[in-house]
Amino acid sequence: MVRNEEKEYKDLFSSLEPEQPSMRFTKNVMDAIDGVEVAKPSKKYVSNSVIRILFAIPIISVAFICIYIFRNSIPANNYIPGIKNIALLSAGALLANLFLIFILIDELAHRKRRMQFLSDLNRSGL
Amino acid sequence: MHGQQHDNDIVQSVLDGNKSAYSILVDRYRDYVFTIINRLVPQREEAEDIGQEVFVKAYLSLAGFKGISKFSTWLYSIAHTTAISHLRKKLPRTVFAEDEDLASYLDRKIAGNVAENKNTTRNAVNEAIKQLAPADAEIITLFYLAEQTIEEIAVIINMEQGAIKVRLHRARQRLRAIIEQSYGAEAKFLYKN
Repeated sequence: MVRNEEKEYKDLFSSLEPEQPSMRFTKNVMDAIDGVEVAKPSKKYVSNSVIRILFAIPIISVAFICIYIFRNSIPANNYIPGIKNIALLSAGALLANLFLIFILIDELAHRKRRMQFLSDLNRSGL
Repeated sequence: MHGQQHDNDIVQSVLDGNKSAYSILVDRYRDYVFTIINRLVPQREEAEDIGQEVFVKAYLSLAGFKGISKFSTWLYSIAHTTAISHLRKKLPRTVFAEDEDLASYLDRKIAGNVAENKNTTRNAVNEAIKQLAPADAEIITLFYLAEQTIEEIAVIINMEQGAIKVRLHRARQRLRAIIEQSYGAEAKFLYKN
């Protein structure tokens, strides 16, 4: 039933032809691009190595802080020379790094989905 | 496309400095680009100016075309965006405070006059399309005339595939209603194949 309807529409639209612009259309376009050059692609895409480094920094930081916290006993008075309130500092750094990790993971997942979709599109689009 | 140079080869040739090769692409796609724009902007002169702008824009950003999608899909998405930008500039700003407003404007707006020539199927379908809302006419044109897939139309119009399917179905229903309303009993000849 649906297939018949689809065929019906295909037959109906097979008679359709595109509208035509004026005869000077192509010449106007070629005149307009005369003297201008193709713009160089903007380097808006970040290279993979930069993304890896950006990923590595917070992960290493979190790992370092965790190791530091668990391997070294925090003094009972919660004081290390030069650093006031080590617990607050560690928790803050941990949260900030976790936040960064989530953002980066989201960005990477989004890029992957987009690339997958475009490559699927390319395959299906002949 | 038999016997024709592949779009991507022509693009590469243009990027290698053979500027005149770009005219092959313009000749190949000008009618389709013009028709898609004309569905959204019914005035021929304006549609033609926008069409030329589309090809100039495409030329300037040709290096950005990576061949991930078809060249036609890439070009039609520039055509769609340029036509929508033109409509946004032309109409009062308050009308387009939200994207929804633009969509509903395109849905509401009825373009073209009632068909006078009812003699041929081609004229009948063409005139019926002109009476569709511009957004519906654009989707019909992209799917049946420019032979873009649902996935490609989703990229061109920047909408979800599901929404495109619904819109296409709705556009076909409306088109059928217009044809039946305009041609009455004569409409049967349109569906006899």
